[in-house]
Amino acid sequence: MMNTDNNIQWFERYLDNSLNAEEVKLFEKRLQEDDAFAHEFEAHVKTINALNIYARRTRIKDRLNTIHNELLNDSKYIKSSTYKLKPQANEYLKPLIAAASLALVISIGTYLAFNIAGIVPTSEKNHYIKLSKDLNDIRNTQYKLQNQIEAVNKKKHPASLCGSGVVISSKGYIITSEHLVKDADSVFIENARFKRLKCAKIYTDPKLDIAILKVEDSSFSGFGILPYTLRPHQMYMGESVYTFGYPKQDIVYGEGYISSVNGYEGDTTSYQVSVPVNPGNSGSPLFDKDGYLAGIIQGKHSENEASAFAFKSYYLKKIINENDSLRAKIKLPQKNYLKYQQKLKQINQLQDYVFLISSY
Amino acid sequence: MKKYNSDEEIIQGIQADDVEALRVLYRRNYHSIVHFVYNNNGDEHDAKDIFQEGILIVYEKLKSDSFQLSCSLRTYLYSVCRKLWLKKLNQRSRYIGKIEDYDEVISLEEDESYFNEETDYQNIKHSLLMLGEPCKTIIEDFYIHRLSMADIAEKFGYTNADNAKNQKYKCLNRLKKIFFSLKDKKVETKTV
Repeated sequence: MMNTDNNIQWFERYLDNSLNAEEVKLFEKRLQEDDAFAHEFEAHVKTINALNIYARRTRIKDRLNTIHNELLNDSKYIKSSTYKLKPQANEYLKPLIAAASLALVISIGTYLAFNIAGIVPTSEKNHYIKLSKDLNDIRNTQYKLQNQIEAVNKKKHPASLCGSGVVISSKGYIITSEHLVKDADSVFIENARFKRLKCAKIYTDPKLDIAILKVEDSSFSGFGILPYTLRPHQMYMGESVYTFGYPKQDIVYGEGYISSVNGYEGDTTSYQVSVPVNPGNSGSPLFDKDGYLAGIIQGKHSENEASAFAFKSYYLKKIINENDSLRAKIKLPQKNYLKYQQKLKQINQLQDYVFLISSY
Repeated sequence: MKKYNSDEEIIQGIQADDVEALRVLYRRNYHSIVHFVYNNNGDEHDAKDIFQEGILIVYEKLKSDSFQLSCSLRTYLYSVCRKLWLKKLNQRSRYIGKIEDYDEVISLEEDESYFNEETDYQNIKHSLLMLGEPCKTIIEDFYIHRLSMADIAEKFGYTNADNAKNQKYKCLNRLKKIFFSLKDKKVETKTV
């Protein structure tokens, strides 16, 4: 009598056509008479079929993976791909590009005209101060002090730069100033409610001075529902605004108004605001009276104490929407719960989402 | 190397098992699918998975005799991937009822035979994982890498091919049992 292993041998040989005519007859006769045998044969065929499907697909998949890796290593191919921008965005950018080139031509023209006429506009460049607490000056004095006082208890490595930042998505995304984290190899955020969390830079734009960080701490599970949203449209001159920042270890509140809808030297991506700012206010959020996030403080005028510059959150929305990988990751908050609340209540809730940023 | 320009040439190349034809098909369409998945709630990883699954379906279709292409290869591939992605979005309940399209789409019928194959594929894949060593490698060497029993005997240190063959039969029997237990389980959960 045939046992199961033997049966398989018969099945295989039958399927390969390696049985002789007499054996085939015997086999087929048994299939008809022996139900258990027939059933077993059917199961065998099904398994082999599945194995064949598996084999075929595995071979194709291996081939596809080879092709895929070739494609990733092909520098020419990657360069020619611009799929990260939506086509609509491109179309939408066309008039902008046209306008920008026109503006460029005009400004070069004006510049040349002024130069020829001998009137060179005095440069305002030197008046712009980035507000990160660059501790260089302080450090020098500190070193002297350290030399004098021998026993210095060095528990924490001092941060090289400190500033502020604000949450833009409950999944752990924070916006701040690019110059704060530019040279940093590690970035931490800290506030009273969420304590100290390690972050990674996921997006930086040095021109606009904007950086987006993501919390990378294993203990972190989200900021919960954000009570505010990004302001959907631009601010008007004279609207009142307030800000939070970390010019020292504690959070500091300041209030003021939009003094100009354009920023430094007519920069349309930022507002000029009249709020008290200090070193450490870089990356501070600017909220309007309804609790909408209106901007991010970036720098201030060196001579005019009353004017600071803030990147418009309106443009932040654009940056995220036009960058496919950012758009896929960052879900901006949808509902503003602060709109009809009193200012003190707004402040009380908002301060949880403003962080001290230290970069090392 | 043969040049592949038209759909016709690519189809013939795939039917003739030329890797180059597959490569051309892959490279010409990859970015359009990445673009599509990216802009509809997916990431790079999803895009690669969907695209490769789509290519696989198209590849198998092209290989089958009964298949007739009723539009361009590009549109067909795009439509297949689009459908796969919609399905995946539905599974993850991330489908928001709106899909942004970047290419022509043709409607596809529900493909019963592919669905059955897919179930078999997934079941046998899991069965192999559950089978353990050395059975898994023996079965894979024989059925996928198509090694001879003599080679397998040498690789695993069996004294002769017959011993290896017996081992293979034992493995196949066990695989069969696992495979059918998975299959039955799937049917049960479907009806409940």
